[in-house]
Amino acid sequence: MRVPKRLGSAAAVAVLILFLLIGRGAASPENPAFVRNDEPSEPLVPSRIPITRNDVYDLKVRLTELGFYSGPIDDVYDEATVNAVKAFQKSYWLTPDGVVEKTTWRALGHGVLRPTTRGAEPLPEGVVEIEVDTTTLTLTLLVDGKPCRTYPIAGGKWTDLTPVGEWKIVDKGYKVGGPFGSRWMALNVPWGNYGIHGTDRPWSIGSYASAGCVRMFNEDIEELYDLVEIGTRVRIKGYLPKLNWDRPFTYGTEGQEVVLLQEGLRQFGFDAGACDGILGERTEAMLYEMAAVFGFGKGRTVVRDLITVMGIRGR
Amino acid sequence: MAKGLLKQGNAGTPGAYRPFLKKSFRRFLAVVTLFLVVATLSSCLGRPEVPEKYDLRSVRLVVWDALQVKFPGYDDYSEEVSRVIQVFCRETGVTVDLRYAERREVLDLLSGAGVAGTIQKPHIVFSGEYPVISPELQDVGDSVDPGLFLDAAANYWTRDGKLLGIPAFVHWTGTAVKCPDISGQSAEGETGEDESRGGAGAVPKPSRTGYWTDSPLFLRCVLDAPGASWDADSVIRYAKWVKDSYGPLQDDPLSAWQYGQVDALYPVNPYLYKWLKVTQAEEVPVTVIPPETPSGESRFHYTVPAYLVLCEDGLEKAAAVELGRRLARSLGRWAARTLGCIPALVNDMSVFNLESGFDYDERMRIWDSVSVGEAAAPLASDYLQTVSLTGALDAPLQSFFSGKATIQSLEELIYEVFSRHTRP
Repeated sequence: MRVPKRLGSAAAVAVLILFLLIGRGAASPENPAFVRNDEPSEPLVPSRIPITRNDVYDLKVRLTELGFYSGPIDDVYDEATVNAVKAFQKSYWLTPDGVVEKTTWRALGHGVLRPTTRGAEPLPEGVVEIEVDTTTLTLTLLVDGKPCRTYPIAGGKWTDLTPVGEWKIVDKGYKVGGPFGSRWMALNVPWGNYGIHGTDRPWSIGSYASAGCVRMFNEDIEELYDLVEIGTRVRIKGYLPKLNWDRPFTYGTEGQEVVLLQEGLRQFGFDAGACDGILGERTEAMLYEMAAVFGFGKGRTVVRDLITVMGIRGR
Repeated sequence: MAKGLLKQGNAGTPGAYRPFLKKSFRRFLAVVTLFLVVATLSSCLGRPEVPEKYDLRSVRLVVWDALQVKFPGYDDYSEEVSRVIQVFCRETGVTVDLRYAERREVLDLLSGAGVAGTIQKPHIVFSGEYPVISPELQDVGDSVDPGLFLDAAANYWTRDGKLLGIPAFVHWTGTAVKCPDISGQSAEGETGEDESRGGAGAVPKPSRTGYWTDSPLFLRCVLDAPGASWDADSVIRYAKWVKDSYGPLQDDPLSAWQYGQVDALYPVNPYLYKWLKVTQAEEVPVTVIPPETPSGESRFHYTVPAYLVLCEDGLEKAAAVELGRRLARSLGRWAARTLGCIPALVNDMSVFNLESGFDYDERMRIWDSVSVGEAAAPLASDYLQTVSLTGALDAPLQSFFSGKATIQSLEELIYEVFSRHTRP
């Protein structure tokens, strides 16, 4: 049977459109493209123990707070933790099967009080920016540089610190659910998928519990979500991970060290633009400019000399 | 006689009296005289809004300046540049487009490599700390009196009687030394020699010197000196001398300085020296001395950064020279206060004397080198040749200084480098 040529073309176009729609769906607001591998939303199942996963840390913290667990706080879902979960489930009239899924996470969050310190006044007109300080575990909304709202957050654990730098919101999503709570906003951190989102573990707010993302109460992220747009600048300051200054620094290098180089350049008057962690054209040009001014060569020692001058070498 | 003539005229005798000038012509003369008097008076009393010679209000200038280091506790110099330009624009009516160009862009521009993409060529450009002469540079000697500048500064930019730049300050390069006892006693561990280097003030001879071979100044300090030349024998002689005098290459001179493993650093320019001063603990003062050389001479290497005018048009050039003069004066004062450089203007020497942070001996040490110096800005082509040589010589020199190569292999490598870089 011969298929008319025109019909064949139409079918091809239809298939293409279908693919495009599926492709869009993969990164739709309800299915964030930035989900980190270590923030999974699959249930924890006792039959698979031991399971090592980032969210087990939050689980153990909460079970300890509630008096169901007294072992070490780590990422391992083991027998002791399963027993603690079962005891918790029993006390909350849930099926005591040790499976940690949506219902159990929600039950664990019962009784967590969110501070009600926010101002209800409408935001003034102006340029909106976000500043996150992981030393005080706060997120501040700024309008024309003036603080207008401050929210409590949870920051990255010591092993997964929240990336310090100057980022932008590059995507937004809602109805996410699971560990991301009710809203999420992705950041353009070049070396990983990080964002600002809600949570199903509200007890973790005010602690260092995430895998590097900024966690907020769902009510807070819902409010913030409506106040900021894609492209909003997000400045994160705070604790730094262990840095490796012996790594090569060439065009295209990414990392927390590059953010510090960019901050150092700015401090000495050689502004390379946003401290975005990418050694791009402008950063490279400013490194050479500063090296030229100080009389350093262009050889292997140039970055080493510059980081010494910037005072960031020992950090 | 005149009276008689008048009488005769009054008598009405035809032919007997001819008036000196006709009446109508006398009126005309009176009007012209009155006009001239009014014009002269108005020009004397009226204050012109623009410089006397030109009306610059239609001029638009593109200025390339360079970013300066912002040291903690000091003002951002770019604010001063903005202020100077703002005042200039207000007083002259000139429009100025300021751009901060990278120093390597300036070198590209002056060496004829052109400017990238849609970037507009400047009318006036800051030369950077390692200046070169380009055929495009305009003589500014007809508008700027070379006598206002230090001889060394004016001479640096004078070619064939033409002043090719408006000097800003003298940028020196030397050796930074820790002086635990600056009164003249020798440093700990020394043999007791009390050497005075550079002609003024006694500074203990450093026992350990950290040095950079890949610094663009490492070879320039010796090979750019008057009478020296960039040839293989000079480099070999210098390399031997450095290894004998300073010892093996430190892997990380700046860190060695911070941790007290060396008590001197070479080569050090005013920017690095300033940083060493502000980060050094107060109980160990730091000073700067002229580096010694294989020839036994001990002088600071210096250059004279300047503002360069690139436009030929009369009005544009006049505006560019005036703005360049103001920017050069401003930068010279900033460099004196912040970096301890000598301002190029003779009248601004007091800024260096009073605000540079140097004591008398230190100022005299720098002044000794500059006052007798014969440094001159190199041609762009010559400068690029030496940049290329410096890059090619770095690896052989590092091998030698770190002990990986013998003097024989160094000689071979250096001769080979020079044979590859021989000028056509």
